[in-house]
Amino acid sequence: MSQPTREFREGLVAEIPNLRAFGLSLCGKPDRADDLVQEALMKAWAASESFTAGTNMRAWLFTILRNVYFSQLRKLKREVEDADGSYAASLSVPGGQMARLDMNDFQAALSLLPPDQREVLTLIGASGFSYEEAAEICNVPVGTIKSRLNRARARLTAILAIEHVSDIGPDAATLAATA
Amino acid sequence: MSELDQEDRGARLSADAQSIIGRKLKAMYDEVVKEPVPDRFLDLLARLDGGSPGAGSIGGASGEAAGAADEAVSTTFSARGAVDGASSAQASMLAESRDGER
Repeated sequence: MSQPTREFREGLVAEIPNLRAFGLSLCGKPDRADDLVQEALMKAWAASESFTAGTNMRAWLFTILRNVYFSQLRKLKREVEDADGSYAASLSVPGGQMARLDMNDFQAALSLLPPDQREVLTLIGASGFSYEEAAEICNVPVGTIKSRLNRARARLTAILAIEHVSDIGPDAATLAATA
Repeated sequence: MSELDQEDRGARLSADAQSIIGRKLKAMYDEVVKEPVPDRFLDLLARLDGGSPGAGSIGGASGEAAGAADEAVSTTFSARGAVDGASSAQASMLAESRDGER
């Protein structure tokens, strides 16, 4: 097997910040996120010959990282669910407080979403991938990406108790915001 | 509830709620993107590349590298192509962490 090129290595280094952010969005724990990144980098290095120069390296690396994450998740399913369950029980966000939520609260709410919805929300809403790219990364049809995204947004809104904003309608919400 | 109902509900989410979620998510993500790349990863790539890590980063990163090596034991057994790379990276990290303790 030939050694990866210098361009390949530089490409990996350039994508590490985005991989760390994606990893954290997926698993919610900084240490574990960096372990995911390390695993993904090692796999990417070993599989460098399967990467076509000039194609989207970020999408290629994200695919590797999410496959590492979901394969670990399957193995550790029960343990992870227990951990997330106790986290969920400790989380309490009073209605209408979202504007004052700090980042930890938001991250906690994000961790309550099913992993596949959290993944799509991040890919589209934060990493800036198109529906088509996200579909390729997750290896599902574009329609699945769209429905996961809608469910993620609806569920996150409910968790964060901001449904009242839509309940009272956009006009009232605008009035409240400008009052 | 059918998938259609759920999608319908998603479509009716207020622009306010979506924009708050979008901003929070992006802010959380960008916060991490802005952080400098930890030495741990630069050292890893240097080792995979057969080179030596930057001299300045060895002392500070050795404890972290030892933890990473422990993690590698439990997480890399399923990595098909990466197993060889993982165990050599792990071996050199362990060697380095012993160096760091001297």
